[in-house]
Amino acid sequence: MSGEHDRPAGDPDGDAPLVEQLRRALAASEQRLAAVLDSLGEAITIRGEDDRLIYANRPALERLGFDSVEQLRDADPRALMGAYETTGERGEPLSMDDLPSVRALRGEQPEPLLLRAVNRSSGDERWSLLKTTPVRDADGAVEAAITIIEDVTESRRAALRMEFLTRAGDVLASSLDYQQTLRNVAGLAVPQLADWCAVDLFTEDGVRDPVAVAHVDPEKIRTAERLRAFEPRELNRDQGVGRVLSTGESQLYTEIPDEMLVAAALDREHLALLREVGMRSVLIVPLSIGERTIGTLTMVSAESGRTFDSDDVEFAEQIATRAALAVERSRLYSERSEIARTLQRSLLPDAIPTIPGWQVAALYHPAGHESQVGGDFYDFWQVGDEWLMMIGDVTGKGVGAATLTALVRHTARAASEFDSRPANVLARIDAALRQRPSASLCTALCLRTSPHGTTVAAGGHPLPLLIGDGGISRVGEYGTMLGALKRTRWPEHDVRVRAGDTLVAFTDGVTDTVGADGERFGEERLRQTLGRLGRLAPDPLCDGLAAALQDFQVGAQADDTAIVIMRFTGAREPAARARQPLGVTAV
Amino acid sequence: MSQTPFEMETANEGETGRLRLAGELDIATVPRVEQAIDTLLAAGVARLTIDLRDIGFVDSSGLRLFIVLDQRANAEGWKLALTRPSRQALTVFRVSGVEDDLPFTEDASAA
Repeated sequence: MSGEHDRPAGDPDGDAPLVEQLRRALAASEQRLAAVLDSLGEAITIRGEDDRLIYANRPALERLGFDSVEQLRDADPRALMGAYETTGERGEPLSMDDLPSVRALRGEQPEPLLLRAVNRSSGDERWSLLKTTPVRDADGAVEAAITIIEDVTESRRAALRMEFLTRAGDVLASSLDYQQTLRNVAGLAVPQLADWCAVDLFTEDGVRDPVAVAHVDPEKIRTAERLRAFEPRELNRDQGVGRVLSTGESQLYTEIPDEMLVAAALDREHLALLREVGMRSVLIVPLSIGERTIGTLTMVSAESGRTFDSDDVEFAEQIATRAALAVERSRLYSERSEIARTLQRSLLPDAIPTIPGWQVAALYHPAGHESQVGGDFYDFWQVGDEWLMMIGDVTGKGVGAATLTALVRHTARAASEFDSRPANVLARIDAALRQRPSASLCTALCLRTSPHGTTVAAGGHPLPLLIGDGGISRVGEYGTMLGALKRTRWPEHDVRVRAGDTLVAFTDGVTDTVGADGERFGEERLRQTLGRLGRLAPDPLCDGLAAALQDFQVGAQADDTAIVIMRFTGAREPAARARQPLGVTAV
Repeated sequence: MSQTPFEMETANEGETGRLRLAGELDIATVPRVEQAIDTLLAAGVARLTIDLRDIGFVDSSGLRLFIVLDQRANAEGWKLALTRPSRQALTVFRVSGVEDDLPFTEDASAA
């Protein structure tokens, strides 16, 4: 081998220029590489022997808070990791041994890792996706691990928020029990969005209703409950919840310094509790309906160490807006239900009157939502020494049905003052309904009883059953439905009752009750049920019939049900009590 | 005893709209019939024939549907015909004293 280029590298004289040339070329190449790596958006680190970081590009240095690669090389990797509160995708704590780069150096082939790191001193929260590639030496052993760290904070937050909003939307729409709804929403927020989430509602007088407080650790919730005992009766309008309530504007406390706790604490115990919560950052947003602030939603960051920013406030406001709507919806619904109940009560007698010679029981069971007024009704009233009973069913539900029921009842009462024959009462109702602008239909059964006898007439209504010594039989004759028909007739029928006989009047909701396989309760089953129940007094008979209907019924009750049971005692006896509607359950 | 589920067929033959109902006509199924009738009337039929022969049960809301429809036909100047249902389903019309008031026919094609 000859020529200067082939000389052994140890020769100081002849090789010097070449080595210098190579060194320069290498340096230039390293610089170019470093420049390329620095210009990348992604942070890149290289981890080497003893798990130390031996290189980081510019974005990585910035994120880790170093000025130069040399500084980084001197840093203890565990201390570096300790500067962050590090958790995984589902909030599980992560240690250094979970990092893909460290695992790669152990010879494993790690999957990419999604990691949330909160800087313990600044409270800054970052989501990163770590992908590691091992670098092997000539023998194939891993000597370093190159990690590309992609900052996915924005997309991760957006995804979490979207997920939260979707789930919160389902929760908020799921129930009209707003207290439970708000508790569920607060529960969804922790720990992904905050360590604590609380919702308070306030009455117009400023009385606080602490509806919900959520934290993943039940022990912490007890701390919050103890803290409540220290709350002043009067909210301070200048700060915190009081300020949000009085201004309707959100409040963000990015950092809660200890001085703030000291200033807020009422005494030593209070301060100790406040410190125990370890609030790092707090945001409070209003629950508003139009101009009115009905409550607040508070999010607290504590042990996670992150600080809230204006983005978090904006997001919390979105949640609060939806929560406020859910509360309002539920309140309106309860109000409507209350109106409906009041209206319904006004359409039934306050109490079953005492009718000489009769024992009476009645029940009314409206179908569907409690916010609606049903179309069935019954009534009892006195004209001289006569008593009249009417049971009926008007078209429709709601306010329309209520108006019609009121019209029918008042017309019947007024008509009976002049002529109390059941056929006349029905004819007058028919005439009154025909005056209505829209088709107003009604079925009714009218019964009159006096010391001289008992008479019944039906207007499109099922005939009552008479339970007597001879079994169960239908009494009366069918007549025309009220309110619309061209040809009308309401034949009257004298009912011969003996002491102990029982009359059962009902609306078609009873016989039309749907059971298994769509089968109807029907009149035949009604007769069988009455026969089985035997000769009970009206009250237990009514209970027994209601129970039988409930047993038979499958699914939701489709139509209103009304039943009036009258037992002739032949003697003057006090009447049975009025009963509450059955089965009116909260939704 | 299982009940026949409700079924409905509609046909628009220009002047005549035909509706065939089967199964149970009650508070749950009446809204569907009302909608189908509105569609046919909106299309401008002058006659509406409702075949009730396969109807097994009619409740009070079904009954009201026919009463209101009959009033509407008189007021709006079109013709309504109802093909008489089975004895069982006819009960509610009898109980209500409505049978004589409604335009029942025996045969669907004659309507």
